[in-house]
Amino acid sequence: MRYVADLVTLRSPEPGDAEHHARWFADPEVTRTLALRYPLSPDAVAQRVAEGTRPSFADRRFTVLANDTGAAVGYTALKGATPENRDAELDVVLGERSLWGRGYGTAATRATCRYGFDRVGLHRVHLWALADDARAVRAYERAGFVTEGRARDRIFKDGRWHDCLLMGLLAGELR
Amino acid sequence: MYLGALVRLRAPEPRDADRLYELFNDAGAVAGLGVRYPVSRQAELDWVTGRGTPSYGSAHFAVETHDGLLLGTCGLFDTEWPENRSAQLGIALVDRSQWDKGYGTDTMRTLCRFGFEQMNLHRIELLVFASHTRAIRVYEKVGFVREAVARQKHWNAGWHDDVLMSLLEGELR
Repeated sequence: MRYVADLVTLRSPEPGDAEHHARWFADPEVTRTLALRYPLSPDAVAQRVAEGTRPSFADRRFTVLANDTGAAVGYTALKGATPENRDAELDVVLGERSLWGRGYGTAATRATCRYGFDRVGLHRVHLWALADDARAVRAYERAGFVTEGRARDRIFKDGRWHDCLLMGLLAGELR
Repeated sequence: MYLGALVRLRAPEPRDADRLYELFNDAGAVAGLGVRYPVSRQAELDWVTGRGTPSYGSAHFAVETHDGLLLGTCGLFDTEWPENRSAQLGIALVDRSQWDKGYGTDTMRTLCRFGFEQMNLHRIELLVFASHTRAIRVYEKVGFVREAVARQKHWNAGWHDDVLMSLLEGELR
């Protein structure tokens, strides 16, 4: 599967992506904002990637490729949708830190949500962002996400409690 | 057994299945809970049988009066990362003849006290239908704070909003 959009292309995860994931997860600036806490062995990373190669309505994962170079720059996922509510949780991870600030995060967000609305038939996409992760929040807002509220002390990481923003995007709101 | 002022919480037992089967098939009682499909006696039996050992990741309880009348169930669950010490709360007091007697408020207080004192939780959160004002009033009475409105979060003959509410340790009233 290849889903071509502005700046990026989404494709199905492949076992060979594990080496990219391992590199991204070794960067503390990347994992700082992720739920991931413990170091992963290469086998564990390979297993995570392999889980993503069997997509379903409730669990679709994508490897994000930069259109100009064809290189893998991150991954996205739409998880937890039920057919009745058609609401999925979005993950966006731009693992290549050298490419931050060039619009790939916004482009990956847009492409994944477009896929979710047009191909999967979702009605709503939501996500949790660390309240102080301004860079990510800006990217989500650019794609049309609305901050629906602030959950206090929802995450404990790096020695302190963090508030999380709940952000939502309805079909028709994607920009 | 964990004692409140009006109710007590205990581990679910197979003998609860028959009464839960009757209560959870009362459409008027479960309308606010998002129960979509009819539940069989066997499904109730499987549910209680699978929850006989409450634990950190899945603490479900039968709620009964001090006289032993089963009112429904409640629980603290989805504690995926224990580092966050945060749980989802669910409550289903589904005997309509026992509504408006203060059991809901007391069950909330007792369950949250259990979560903070026994499970060492830091945060308890719940999602409630925005239209379920009776429940929201009870949650606010015991100290829960409205944090977010998840727009068009669930389908029930149309799209409806959910409200995210939470209670942090020290906030229980």
